[in-house]
Amino acid sequence: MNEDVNIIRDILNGDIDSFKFLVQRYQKPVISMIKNIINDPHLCEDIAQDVFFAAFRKLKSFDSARSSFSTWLFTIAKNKSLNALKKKRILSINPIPEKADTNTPSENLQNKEFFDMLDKALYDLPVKQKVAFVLAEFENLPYQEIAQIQGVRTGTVKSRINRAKVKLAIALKGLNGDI
Amino acid sequence: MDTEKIYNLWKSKKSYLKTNQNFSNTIIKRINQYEQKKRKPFFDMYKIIDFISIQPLAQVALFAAGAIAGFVRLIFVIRMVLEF
Repeated sequence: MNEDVNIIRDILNGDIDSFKFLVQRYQKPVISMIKNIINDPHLCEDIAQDVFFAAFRKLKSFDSARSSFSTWLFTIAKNKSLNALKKKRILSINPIPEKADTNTPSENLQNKEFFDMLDKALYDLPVKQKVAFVLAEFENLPYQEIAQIQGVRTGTVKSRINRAKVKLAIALKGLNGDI
Repeated sequence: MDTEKIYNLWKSKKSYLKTNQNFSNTIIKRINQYEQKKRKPFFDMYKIIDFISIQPLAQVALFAAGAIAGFVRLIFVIRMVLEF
């Protein structure tokens, strides 16, 4: 985005407060991505803060000719999330605050069972598949951008997402069959 | 319920996020602190005075350095007077 490049130029010229515009623009997708990768709602904001702080410190090394700012930022977020996963070994499923909906209680209960199953299937995915899936399905990033973030070819991203979807479909069908 | 509907509901639930209103302010505050720290001079007089006022050993060292400097200066003056 051209606007991002202009803001970055201002920041590098000493207008530190302009960084706030970038934070406000990208905080939601970055936090959401981290939350869905590490599955710890309490830790995700701390990691997101580290991501933005690291981005500010490394801003001079950002090259707009090589990638967009969002791709660069998501790459930092992905690396920080994976480091946090390694460090904390967050493998258990923690409850995630849910969005209030208008379904009936029985529907809610049934949905919760499905959601829990899908959550478990998501967190059981291999990390590379999980990152590709989260970026594509929850953040709606194009395959090409995900490929840049993961440092692989677009075909590899497609296959990672397909494999992840197959695993989730199996989990969903398994539960559907029980009901 | 339809599998696709469940999947889409789950996706919207996973995409939903309530962020802290102060998130960006906290980062800017942290960045400003970092920048201030970076700009601080290596030689900070106030920090040295604080250090000396707290550490008795530093006070002894400062007193000793003052005494030595005074003694050297005295010798130097005496030598100058004797030579004159």
